[in-house]
Amino acid sequence: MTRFDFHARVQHGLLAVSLAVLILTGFPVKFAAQPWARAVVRLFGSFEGLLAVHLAAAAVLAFTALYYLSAVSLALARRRLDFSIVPRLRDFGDFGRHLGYLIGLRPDAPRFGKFTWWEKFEFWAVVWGTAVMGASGLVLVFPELAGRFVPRWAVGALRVAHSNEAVLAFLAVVFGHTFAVHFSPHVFPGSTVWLNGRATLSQLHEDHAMMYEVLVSRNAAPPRPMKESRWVRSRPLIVTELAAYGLLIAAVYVAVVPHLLGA
Amino acid sequence: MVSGRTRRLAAVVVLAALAAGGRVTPAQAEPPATGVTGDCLECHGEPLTAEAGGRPVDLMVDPDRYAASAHGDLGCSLCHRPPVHVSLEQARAAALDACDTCHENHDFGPAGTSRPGFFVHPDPPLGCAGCHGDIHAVRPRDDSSSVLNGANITGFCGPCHREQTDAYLYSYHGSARRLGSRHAPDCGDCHGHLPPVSLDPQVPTSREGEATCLACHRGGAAALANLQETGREHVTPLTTGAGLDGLARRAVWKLFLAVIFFNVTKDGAVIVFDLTRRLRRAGRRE
Ligand code: HEM
Repeated sequence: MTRFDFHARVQHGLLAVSLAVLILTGFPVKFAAQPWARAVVRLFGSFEGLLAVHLAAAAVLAFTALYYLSAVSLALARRRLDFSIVPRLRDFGDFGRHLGYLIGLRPDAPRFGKFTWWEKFEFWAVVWGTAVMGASGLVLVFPELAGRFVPRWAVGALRVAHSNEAVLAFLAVVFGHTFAVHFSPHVFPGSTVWLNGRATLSQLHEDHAMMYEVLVSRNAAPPRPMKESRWVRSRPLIVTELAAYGLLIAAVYVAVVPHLLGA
Repeated sequence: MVSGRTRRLAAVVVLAALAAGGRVTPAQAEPPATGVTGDCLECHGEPLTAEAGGRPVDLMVDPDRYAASAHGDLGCSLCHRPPVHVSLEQARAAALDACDTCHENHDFGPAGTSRPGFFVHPDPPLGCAGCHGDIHAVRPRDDSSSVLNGANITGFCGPCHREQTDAYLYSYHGSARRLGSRHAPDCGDCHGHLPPVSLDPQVPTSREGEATCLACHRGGAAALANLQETGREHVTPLTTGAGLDGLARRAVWKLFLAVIFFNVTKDGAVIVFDLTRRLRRAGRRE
């Protein structure tokens, strides 16, 4: 079943590339004291080169946002805008039921519609993140202009926001997104929705049961998917992933918690 | 062995150059014959002390460290102009005057605002060596142990002005400088190497407050008044006692840390529980 049309795939590609480059060229500035930061700067020739690439990638991100917004406006004008990405009360319940199922408190997995609670969460996180990064980034690029309207303490606070939202975005990709679309055994080694727009029947069945049923009712799919990915039963894969994610999560806690609780 | 005549000749050459051209850049300066150094080091290359004002003064110059220093091929008499064996104060003042020969304009200010000479750190009074360390062992700028090296850019000021230098390194200026930017300012670019124009601690930059920022942020004149009234430089999320400046940064910082914590906990829980559930299931039906 097609989940991403052509425009969505292009937008996803532009977002992925620009975000990766922004993180690669932004993190050395944040972590300038680390030896690896200088190594990354050397890749770009000079600090000025690094910043120029950061700003070029920011322009690509801005273009992507405009591209997306114009597609949305067009669909709205034609009264064909799909609002199913908007969160509903039900999504909060889904979140609880899903966790209950994963922990083993509930026998059956909740049945999701076109977008799961985590997909909606990720979508709005990207919207929020792009707005924050765009606004704070512009203030950092044009301090002479921004300084006329924004107080000095706010310029400083916006820089802190830019710096930390970047970490938040990075971690959201590393944990939530890569697991949902690459490493979760039922999609491993990776969903192809971003490439050809299509999800497999078994992925659809697990993540979007309500959509799957629509296919069944149209006789476009068997009552249960014929085959399951062999990875869902691969114990080596699952154990490796548990160890890797466990270590990563512990590392983040070690880095974050002392600052969170400290002075 | 070089004779005393040659030594005097070398000194005359330098003095003549000074008299004729006023200031001499390193390229123009005629380094005295190295033999001069050798002669001096016969005594000064070994442990040698004198007494001044009741305190012992170290007069030794380590020949190896000197030879490896940025000044290693200048020779003694470029700075220590004859007569050299005078009172210690006279000798020192004369030698400090000599820095000016090459480091003519020891300030980064725009033309017209700088005054050639040396920064005399007001309190405590520090001469060149106070910041640059032993002048006989000063390292070239690209040496990582030089206080001028990019990696060590707060080296002059850090030991005493820790809060300011930490905040500087946290700032965009400091990060960019640390990563090799040639445009980003270091301490001296704003504070200069001259006595501050105003000794009022609120205005510690060498130029008048606005000229300091506008030297680079040329289009910023309209923003400056607003920015100066609503906050200051050298503030991090951890700075206390800086009013809104510190509070706003700290609030945003903590807020994001909390959101990061929440998000990793949410994603982490889903990942770990999802995987353990699948692991049990994979075991059951095998
Ligand atoms: C998701 C997108 C982005 C990411 C992940 C990102 C990441 C970063 C990071 C980590 C830093 C270093 C912050 C620090 O010094 O602590 C940075 C600096 C910077 N970014 Fe971005 N950025 C993004 C988007 C943008 C955009 C859209 C713009 C411009 C409109 C921008 C302009 C800048 C500028 C000018 C700096 C240097 C100023 C400074 O560090 O204080 N960035 N970025």
